[in-house]
Amino acid sequence: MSGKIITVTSGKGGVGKTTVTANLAVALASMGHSVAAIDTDIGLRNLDIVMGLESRIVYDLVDVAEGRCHLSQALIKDRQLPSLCLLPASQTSNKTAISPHELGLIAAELRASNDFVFIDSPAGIEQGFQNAISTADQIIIVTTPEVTAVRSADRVIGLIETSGKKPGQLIINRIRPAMVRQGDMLNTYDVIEFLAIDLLGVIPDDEAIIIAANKGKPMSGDPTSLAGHAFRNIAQRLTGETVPFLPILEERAGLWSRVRAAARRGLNSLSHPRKMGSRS
Amino acid sequence: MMELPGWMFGRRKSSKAITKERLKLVLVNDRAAIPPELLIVIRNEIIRIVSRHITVDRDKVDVRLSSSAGETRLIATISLASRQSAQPPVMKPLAEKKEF
Ligand SMILES: Nc1ncnc2c1ncn2[C@@H]1O[C@H](COP(=O)(O)OP(=O)(O)OP(=O)(O)O)[C@@H](O)[C@H]1O
Ligand SMILES: [Mg+2]
Repeated sequence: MSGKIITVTSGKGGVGKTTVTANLAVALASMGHSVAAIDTDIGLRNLDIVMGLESRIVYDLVDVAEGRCHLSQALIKDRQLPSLCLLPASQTSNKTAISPHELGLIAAELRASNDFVFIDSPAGIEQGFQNAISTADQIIIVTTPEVTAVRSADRVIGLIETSGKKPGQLIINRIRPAMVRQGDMLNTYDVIEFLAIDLLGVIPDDEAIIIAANKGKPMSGDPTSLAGHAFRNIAQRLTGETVPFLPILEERAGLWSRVRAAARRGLNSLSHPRKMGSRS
Repeated sequence: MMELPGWMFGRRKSSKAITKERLKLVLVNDRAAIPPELLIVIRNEIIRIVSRHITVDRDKVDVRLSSSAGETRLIATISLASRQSAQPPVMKPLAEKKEF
């Protein structure tokens, strides 16, 4: 088996990387895929809490990297979903405790026995971010429809381009349809127009997500919630299916096709090449 | 016909237009990697050079990056002082006119 390594990153902190990682991992595992999630937010581990696995941690990512235990000893299996496991971050070391090479080896080992390997990246654009993207086959950039988050996402997109990786895909989190309708929040189309990358999905702002995180039970399995539906749709898109976007989150009909077309043409109001950082 | 103000109908100006304008400016600057300090330096030099010839209103000189149709431009908007103090062109007469 050779799975896909998917890194979830954002630049700005607190926009929903950990929430997205946990929910997509659970959604894919519920669909019958084998999934491993690695928390690389060393020193500020959180994925264990959101997935409800914090009480069972014995070893962590840094222990594995430094050879204090085998990878299999550090993995925590989810009791409800046996095809889902977590490699937790260390809470005591810092972000430089692991090198891209070490993370690459661990991710490669997990890929050999899983369909999907998620890497939850720390906030920022330093070493921890570089580690997380260096080993990725696919990168998901999470943003919210706010100026600060979109700006950070733009920076991250530029850095991914500089690193030679293929462009990431965007998840817009915490959309509030009522605010969008009032014209007080950027809509999906606005954000895509600015960032000029492919859209992977849109997730509404939903209290249920906070409650689920507090309970340690990701809610992508919840059939009644809109956010859960959004996560399941994204999970399906990751398996290669074409799933239409949830109408309630869109401004106008036919958005997806227009977004795709616009992205292909590079037709966005800012479409001059991003500065190539170190290359220029 | 008299125009009625928007608030009479409970309409309110949306904040999105401002948001988009600000975001656009920020991204144009970030991507061009031209720091705002450099724009200030450029602005001051433009004022210095243009002032040699015409009187400009220093407070109303705006230098910014703008992007449209896939092209980034440096746009300088220079307001002239309301009354031009007839600044003689800084040119030497080519030759003294001589009366014969
Ligand atoms: N769609 C949403 N609706 C409501 N709350 C959300 C949503 N997405 C995330 N949150 C909440 O926002 C907070 C931050 O989310 P999360 O921890 O996933 O962000 P992060 O990007 O991983 O943060 P960090 O940069 O610190 O790692 C959490 O309390 C989470 O429950
Ligand atoms: Mg996080």
